[in-house]
Formats: sequence, structure tokens, C-alpha cells
Amino acid sequence: MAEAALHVEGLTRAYGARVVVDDLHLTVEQGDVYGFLGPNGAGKTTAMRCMLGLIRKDAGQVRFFGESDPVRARRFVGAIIETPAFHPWMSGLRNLQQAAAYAGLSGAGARAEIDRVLARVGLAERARDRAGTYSLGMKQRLAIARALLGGPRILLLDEPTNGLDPRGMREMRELIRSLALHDRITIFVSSHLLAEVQAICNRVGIIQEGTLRAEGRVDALLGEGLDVDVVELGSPDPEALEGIVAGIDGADVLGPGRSGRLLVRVGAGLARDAFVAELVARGARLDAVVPTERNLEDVFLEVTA
Amino acid sequence: MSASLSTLPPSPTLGALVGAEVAKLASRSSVRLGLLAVAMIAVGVPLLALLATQAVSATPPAGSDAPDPTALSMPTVVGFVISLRGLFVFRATVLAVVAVSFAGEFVARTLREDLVRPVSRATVLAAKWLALQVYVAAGMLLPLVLAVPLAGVFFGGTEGFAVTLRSAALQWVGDVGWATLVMALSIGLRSVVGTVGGVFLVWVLEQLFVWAVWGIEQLRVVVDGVLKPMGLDQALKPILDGLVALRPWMPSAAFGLTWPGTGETLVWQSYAAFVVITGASYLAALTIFQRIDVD
Repeated sequence: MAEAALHVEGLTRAYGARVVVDDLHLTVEQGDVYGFLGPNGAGKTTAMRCMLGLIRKDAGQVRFFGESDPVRARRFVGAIIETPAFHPWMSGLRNLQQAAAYAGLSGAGARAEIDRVLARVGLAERARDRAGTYSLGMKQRLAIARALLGGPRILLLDEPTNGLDPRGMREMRELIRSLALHDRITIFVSSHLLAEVQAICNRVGIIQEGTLRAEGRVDALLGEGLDVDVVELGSPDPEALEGIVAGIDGADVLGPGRSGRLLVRVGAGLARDAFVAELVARGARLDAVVPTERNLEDVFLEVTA
Repeated sequence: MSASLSTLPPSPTLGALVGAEVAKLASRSSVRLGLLAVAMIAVGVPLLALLATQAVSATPPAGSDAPDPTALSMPTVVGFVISLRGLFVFRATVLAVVAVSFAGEFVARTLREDLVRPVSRATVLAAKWLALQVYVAAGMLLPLVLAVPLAGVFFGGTEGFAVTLRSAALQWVGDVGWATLVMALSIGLRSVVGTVGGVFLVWVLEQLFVWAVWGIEQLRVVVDGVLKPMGLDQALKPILDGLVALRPWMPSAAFGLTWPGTGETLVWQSYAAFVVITGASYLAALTIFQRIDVD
């Protein structure tokens, strides 16, 4: 059996008395596009920094492709942690030349590799411009190019779509998907954008308070909650409707849905038609009942509730 | 799918990293300004000396015992260049370069991008320190390369050139230690402003101490005269002697800064202090660098 691309065992890190990453265990198999999810402050970035050796871990072990020595293990890894930083007075090309030296590339091999990654992210034409003049989307692509230097087997991406406009987000999503599919690079990506993660990831782990709360294949996690129904309810009097829903056992208001409708979870043991009949019986005025497909957001909210 | 280290690039060599760091330093405006400053001194001093000589020659002094302006020689003028460069001009530029390339890289988070690579922190620090020393060496070689031929053409003569070169070499050795001390402070403080302020504070305190000790030494008779009626002269003698004995161990002596009021040669204690301060600075920098969390 192939070594796991990333295997984290008992990773722990505390700042004083505050334990930010608490006995974290997770496994990313080769070929996975793994979404690392969690609310703000859940410990995602701290965990990723520990994995890369940027910050010390108090306990635990991190192995990339079976290698636990941090320096040797990082030969497998390309990474973008939070907002990528560049030397703004240097061109994109010079920034990559710097990074190529640190990736162990030199001479003609380095030049060929830089050309390859620039072409891969579509930045070849702007490579000689100063990095300080790049848009955020271009900086993210340059960061991907830098992470790709040396042909890593796994990419660790921390919020790679942060701050991008919709077009930039889409380009980044397609690039990540393509890197996984065509370049056969294992991807480990943290994100707040659950729809994005659902669109590109085959497996996810959900972290809360430094501990992994759920991990598995996206389709399996979505299937786990099939006994739970989520519907959108429309009403000319949403406040009254919210009060009525709150009074029914097995039903919870999740929050606002689309077009001013109310997003409601109908739990196991309560059929949707029986629920609607109960609403009407209690005097609710309904003008829409829209079944919704269970998505990663539902899973996330359930796990982190 | 399988992965093995043999199909990946090797970890970078120290030489390759030094090359990359030197290239990065060379592109920094603070480095260019620093080299421009010493180049201007190297060119400006011989030119000014020539102009002064010509002005004095055009109006010969009346007295026969007036100094002969033509007595200036290449080694003397190059010595002026080295002295002027040593009046904290170049070391101020080293401070600026260290502040932006060590603390500055923490703040800008560009250091993080180096540390996610397959290279140990000790190697990263060694590469950055060696690159800094390339700048320090260039800061001495450049003025020599410019000033020696210029002063040679203007004034000629080689007598005493060995002494001038020895003084330049000592100043360069001092620069190596100074750069290392400032680097340690910069890594410890991890703030550009803090580095400049911290170094300035250390320098001011050290100078105050040095001048105080010098004052005690020069006015020892007066001090003893004041203390004797109080019966303190014998009790305080070992302390005062100890303070005076510290003089050659101070960083300003170790790094070759001019000792106030004297032109005395370095004593062995200053060489020892240089080794101790420089070595301790590097070790402190390495210890901190290997332990710090990098955001």
C-alpha cells in the first residue's frame, strides 16, 4: 500500500494555557484533494504551520510520504500559507529565481523549471514586471508557481482564494483542480468557502477547537445525513413562521435562506409532509416550501454546532 | 502512484543559497546606497585633497615652517578615506541593511517562504550571514579599489601603504563583528525600528560607559584626591582599576572604533573581545533563529 501523502499523529500546540491544536490526527492519501475546514480560530493555520515546521509543535508527528525528518520531508511539499509574501521591488521572475535556489534548483534546470511553472499558472508574459505591481490574483498565481518549483508531490494551500474576486476564485479553483487531475499532485487545502471545497475536494476534515471532529469522503459525509431534511419555507409573515417552527419538536431554524425564505432543518422521525401539515395546523401562512439538497455547509454546521 | 526522494531536486547547497542571498542583497536599495556612500568618500576625499593642495600651492604661506601641502601621499590620502569611512558611515549602512534583511524579512513574511523549503534553519542563517559579509567586504574593497589608483595618480608615493592596508584590514574585521552583533539584535527584536533603536541604545550606553571609564582613568589623581578624605580611595581602588581594565574588552575597542583621545594599537584583550562578542552574537542569533515561530 502506498504511503500516505500526509499523516499527522497527535499534533498538539499550545500558546500558554490556550491549546490551539489538540491531539490532531489526520491522513491525506496520495491523489486526494483534501479540504481542511473549520470555523475561524479553529486552529487550521496553526496546524498547517506546525506541519511545515514554521512553528514548533509541543507534541505529535508529521510525515509526508512516510518521511518524518522535517527538512527531508519538505522536499515533497509546496506550500502557500495565508497571504503569500514577495520581495515587491523584484520581478516575478527574480522572486522565482530566489525560490528556485531554496528549492535546490540551479543553472539550466532552474531556468527550465521556472519557465514551466510560469506557463503553468499563465504568468509568463508578466514575469519581468515587478511583483509589487501585481494584482492579488496574479500574486496568488505567482505563489502557486513558486510552490510548484521542484515538482512537489503535495501542495498545502491555506485559504488560496482569500481576497480574490469571483473570476479570480474561479481561476484558482480550476487551477487547483487541474493540478490534481493533470499534474497528479495531492492537494491539502484549507478554506472557509464550503461550496468551493465541495466542488473540488474528494475528502474533507473538519477541525474545531484544534481537534478533528469529522473526516471522510465528501459523498460519504453528505450521505450520512440523509435522514435529515433541509427545506426553505416562504411566508408573508416570516417572524410568525419562525416562532411556529421553533415550537415543533424535531425542527430547527438554521437561518435565512434564499429570497427571504427561512432555512429549516427537519430532523429524523419527522416526515416533510407531516411537518408541513403541522405548520398549517398551527396557523402558519406558507407561500413556498422548497426542498434543498444537503451540502457541505449543512455537514459543517452540524459538526461544529 | 508513488513518491521517492530520488526523483525530487536535492536540498540546496550552502553555496547556492549564499549566491541567491547575495543577488537579493545586491537588488536592495539600502545596499546600493551604502556602497554609493563609501564610493563617494573614496572618490571625494582624493579630489578634495587635490583641490586643497592646489589652493595652498597657489598661495604659498609666508612662514618657512608652514606644512608642505605636497607632503600628501597616496597612503596618507587612502588612510583619510578609510578613517572617514570608519566614522560610523559604513556601519550605519550595515545597520540599515541588517534591519531590512533580517527583521524586515520577518515583518514582511518573506522569510516564511524560505523556511518552507527543504533546508535547515541553521543553513538559512549561515547563508544570510555570509551574504551580509560579502556586503561588508565589498564595503571595504570598493573604496580601496577607487581611492588607491585615484590617490596614486594625484599624489603618488607608496611609503606607509602597508600600515594603511593593515588599518583597513582591521576596520574590515571590526565590521564583520559589528554586522554579526547587529544581526543578533535584529533577529532577537524582529522589528526594523527596534533594530535601529536597539543598536543605537546599545551604542549610546556603551559609549557613555567608555567615556566614563576614560574620564576616571584620565582624572584618577583627582578622583583619588576626592575619595581619600572620605577614606574610600582604598575601598574603591579595585572597582576603579577593574573598570579601567575593562576598556579594551568593550565592543568599541573590539570592533576597532577609535578609542577616545588615543591612537593606540589594539591589545590582545580587544582581539579576544572581538572573538567572544562576535561568536556569542552568532550563537545567540542561531539559537533564537532555530526556536522562533515564523508566522
